[in-house]
Amino acid sequence: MADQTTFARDAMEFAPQLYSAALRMTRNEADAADLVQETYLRAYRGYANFTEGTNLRAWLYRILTNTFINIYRARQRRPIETDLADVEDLYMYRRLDTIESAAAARSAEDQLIDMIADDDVKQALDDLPEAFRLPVLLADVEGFSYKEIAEMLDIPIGTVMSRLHRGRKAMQKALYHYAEARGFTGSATKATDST
Amino acid sequence: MPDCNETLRELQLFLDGELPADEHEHVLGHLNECLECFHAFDFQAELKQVIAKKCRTEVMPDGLLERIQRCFETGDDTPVEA
Repeated sequence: MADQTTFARDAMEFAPQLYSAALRMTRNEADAADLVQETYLRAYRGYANFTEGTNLRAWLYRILTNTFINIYRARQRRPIETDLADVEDLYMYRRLDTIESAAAARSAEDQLIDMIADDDVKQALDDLPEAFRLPVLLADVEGFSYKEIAEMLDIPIGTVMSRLHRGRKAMQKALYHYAEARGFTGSATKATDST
Repeated sequence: MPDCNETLRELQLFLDGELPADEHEHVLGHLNECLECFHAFDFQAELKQVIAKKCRTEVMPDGLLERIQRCFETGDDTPVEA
C-alpha cells in the first residue's frame, strides 16, 4: 500500500506532462489547469489504492482521463463528436510521394519536420473528435500501450486500434492541408525547378 | 513472405510496439525487399515522432504547482482561480 506522505515526492514530477495532455483534452488553458488540479487531488485521496512498484505515471493518466471524461467533458463548448469521415490509407504519404523524389537532396525526415509547424500538429490533434483524439494522444504523444489505453478509456483493444488508425489518417489529411496552405508543397516543387 | 497489403496492415502494430516478436521477422523481411513499403514505414514512423515531439511542450501556468500543493494541505477541491 502506498503512503500518502510520499505522494507529492513521487507524483509531482509528472505535472508538466499531465498538463500538456490535459490541454489537448480540454483545448483550453483554464480547464486544463483545473483538470490537473482535480486529478492530483483525486490521486492524493486515492493513493492508498495505488500498488507500489506498478506504473505510477499510467495510474495518474488513468485518473486524468477518467476525470476528463466524467467531469470536464460536460463543460466543453463543442458537442461530443464520435464520428470521423473515412480517409484513404497513407493519405499524406501518397501525396508527398509525388514531391519526394524532387526533394532528393534533403532527407524525407528533414522535409517532414520542416513542413509541419508545431501549432499545426496541435491544431490537427485538437480538431479530432474526442473518440479519436484521446487514443491518438495517449498512444502517440504519451506512449501508452493498447492495453493501457483500453483500460483508461474503458473500450476494447480492437476499438483502440481502429480509432488510432482512423484518427491518424484524419491527422495526416489535416496536416497535409496545413502544409499546403503554408505553401510548403508548392515550394518543394519550386525547389526542384531551381536545381 | 507477406505481401504489401499484409505488411501495411501490420505496420501500425509494429510502429506501436504491439506486434508479437515472432512476427517481426516477416515485416522486417518484407521491408528489406520492398522499397515502397519501407518508405511508407519510414514516413509513418517519422510522423509518429513529429506528433509526439510537437504536442508535449506546453508550459504549465504560473502557480499551478502551488495550487495543487495547497489543496493537498486543505483537502479543498474547488479550483482556485488565479
